[in-house]
Amino acid sequence: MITQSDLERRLTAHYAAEAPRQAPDWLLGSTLDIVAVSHQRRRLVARPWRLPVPRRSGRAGLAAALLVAVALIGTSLGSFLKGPIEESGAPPLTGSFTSPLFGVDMSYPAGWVTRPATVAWTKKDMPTFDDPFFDVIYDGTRANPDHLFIGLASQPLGDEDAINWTSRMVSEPGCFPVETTQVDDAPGWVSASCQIAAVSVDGRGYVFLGYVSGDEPALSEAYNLAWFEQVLATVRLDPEGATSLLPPAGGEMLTPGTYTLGDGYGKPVTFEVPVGWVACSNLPVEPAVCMRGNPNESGVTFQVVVNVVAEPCGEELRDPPVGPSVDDLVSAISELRGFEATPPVDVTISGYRGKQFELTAPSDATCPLRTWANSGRINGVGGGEVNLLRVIDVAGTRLMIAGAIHSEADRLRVEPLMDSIRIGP
Amino acid sequence: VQRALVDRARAGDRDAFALLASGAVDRMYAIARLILRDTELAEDATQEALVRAWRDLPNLRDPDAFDAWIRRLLVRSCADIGRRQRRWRTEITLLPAEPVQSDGASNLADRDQLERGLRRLSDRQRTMLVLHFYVGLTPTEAADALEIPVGTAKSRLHYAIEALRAALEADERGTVAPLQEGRLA
Repeated sequence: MITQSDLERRLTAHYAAEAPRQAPDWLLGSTLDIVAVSHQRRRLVARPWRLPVPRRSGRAGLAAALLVAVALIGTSLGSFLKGPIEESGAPPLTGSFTSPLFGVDMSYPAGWVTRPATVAWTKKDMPTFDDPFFDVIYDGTRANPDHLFIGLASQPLGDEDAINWTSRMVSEPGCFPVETTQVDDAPGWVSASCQIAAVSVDGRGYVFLGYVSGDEPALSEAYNLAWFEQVLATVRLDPEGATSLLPPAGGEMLTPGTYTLGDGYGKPVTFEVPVGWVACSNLPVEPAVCMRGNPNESGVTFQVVVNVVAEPCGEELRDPPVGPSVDDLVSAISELRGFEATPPVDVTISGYRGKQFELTAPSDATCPLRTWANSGRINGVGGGEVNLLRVIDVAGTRLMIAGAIHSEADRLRVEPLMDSIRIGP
Repeated sequence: VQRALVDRARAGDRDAFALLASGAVDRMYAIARLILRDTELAEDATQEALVRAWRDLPNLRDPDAFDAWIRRLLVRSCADIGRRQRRWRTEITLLPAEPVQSDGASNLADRDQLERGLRRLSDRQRTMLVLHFYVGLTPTEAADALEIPVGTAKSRLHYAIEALRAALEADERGTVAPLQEGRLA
C-alpha cells in the first residue's frame, strides 16, 4: 500500500526533478516579438488607436514595418516559414475559385468541391466549416468533408486596427507561435500549427484556413504547411470586389462598394452603393440607405411587407390581412385612398419575378399618411412623396424594395441603386 | 520593484513588460510542461499566456496580484490548449526524453512509474497536482488559479491523489484499471 505521505513526497520530488529549469531561449524573444506589434485592450476608451491602413500600393510598407519591428527586437524569427517548399503529394492546384462575397480569387486542388459563402461574415470569431459565411473548398470524396478543407472569409476592419484584427484571428488556442507573412503582398500573420493566415489590405481583413483534422494523421503529411503556402501563393485579393453587410444607421458615410442585407429576404440581396449615401435604418427588418444630407431622407428601403393600412389617415391594418402573393400586395397598395399608382409592370431581378409600379402620395393630405406594415413598424410617407416600388417573389419571400424620391434629381440617384440590386445565389 | 514594473507595463511600457516576462517565463514554462506533458504544447501555452497578459494588463486592478493573475492566465491557456489538442489530435505527444538532474529520492524506475500514473489522470487532476505539489499553492490559492470554488479545489486535490495512488497500485500489480474522475460528496 502506498501511503499518502509517501506518495506526496515522491510526487514532490518527481516534479522537482522533472520540471525544466529554463524555457527555450527563443520563447521569450518570440513572445516579445508579438508583444511589440500588439496593442493592449483598454476599457473606457471611446475610440481605439488606429494604425493607418495603407492603400494597396502601401501594403509593402506596413509589411516592412512589421518585419523591421521584429528585427529591431533583435531576436530571430522561427524557422517554420524558412524551409524549402517540398512536394506535398496533394492534387495539383488547377481549380480556380472566385469568392462571390469576399473579394478573393485563388486556386485549389483538382477535383475538390467549392461551397461559396451565402451571407456576409460579421462575427468576430474565426468561421468554421458549417458557417454560411465561410467560403469552403473541400475534398468531396472524403467521408468526412470537414476533415480536410480550405476556408476563407473577409470582413471590413471597422474601428479595429489592422494589426489587432489580424493577430486576433490567428490567436486561437494552440496556434502560437505565429509568424509575419504576406498574402498577395498584404501583410499579416500565419500560424504554422493551425495553418491559419490573416492579412489585411485597404481596410479589409482576410482569413485563410488550411484545415487538416487530427483524426486523420496521414493527411497532415500531404497537406502540410508547405502545401498551405502553395495555396496562399495563388491568392489574389480584390477588396473593392468584396461585399459588406449593410450596417445599421450610424451617420457615417458608407464606403462606396457592394453591400448585402442580413438574413430574412429569402436569398442574399446585394446592391452597389455609390459615394454620398448613409445607412438610415436601425430596424433589422427594414434596412435602408439614404442620400446623405437630403432633407427628405430620399433613399431605398428593403422589407417584407405583411399588411397594408385600411385607411391612410389611420394606423389600423387591413382585416383580413392582405393576401400572400405579389399581386395581392400590389393591388392593396395601389388601392390606398388618395394615392395615385401607375399600372404595375413585370420586372425580374436575378431571375426572380415581380411587379414594379410607382405610388404618389397626395400632396394636400390633412393627416399623417400611413401605407404598409412590416413586422417592425407601419410606414409613413410625406405629402407628394413618390415611391418607386418593386415587389419580388424571392423563393416564397415577398420582398418589397421602395425607392422614396421627392424630385427628379432624387430619381436620377435612386434608380441606379435600385437597378444594381442582385438577388442570390 | 515588481509593482513598479507592473504599473509601467499596464501603462503600455513594453520594456517593463519584457522584464516582467523574462522573470516569469521559466517558471511558467515549467508549470505548463508539467501540466501538459508536452514540450511544444507547453511553449504554446506559455507564449499564449504572456501575450494575453500583455493585452489584458491594463485591466488588472491590483498590481500586487500580478503573479496570481498571470498564473491564472497560464492555467487557462493550458486548459484551452489541452481541449484543442483533444479535438485536433488523436494522440497526445509523449514527453521526449530529456536529461534530468539526478535525484537521490527517486530512481529511474520510480520516475517511470509515476510518469505512467500521471499520464492516466485527467488534465484537471494533473493541473491540480502541479499547482499543489510543484508550485506549492494551498487549495485556496489553487482554487483562485483554477477559478473554481475552494471546496471543489479541495475535493479535486483529494481525488487526484487517490486516483494517482490507485494508478500506481494497479501498476505495481501489473493491471491497468480505467480511471474516471468521480464525484465526492
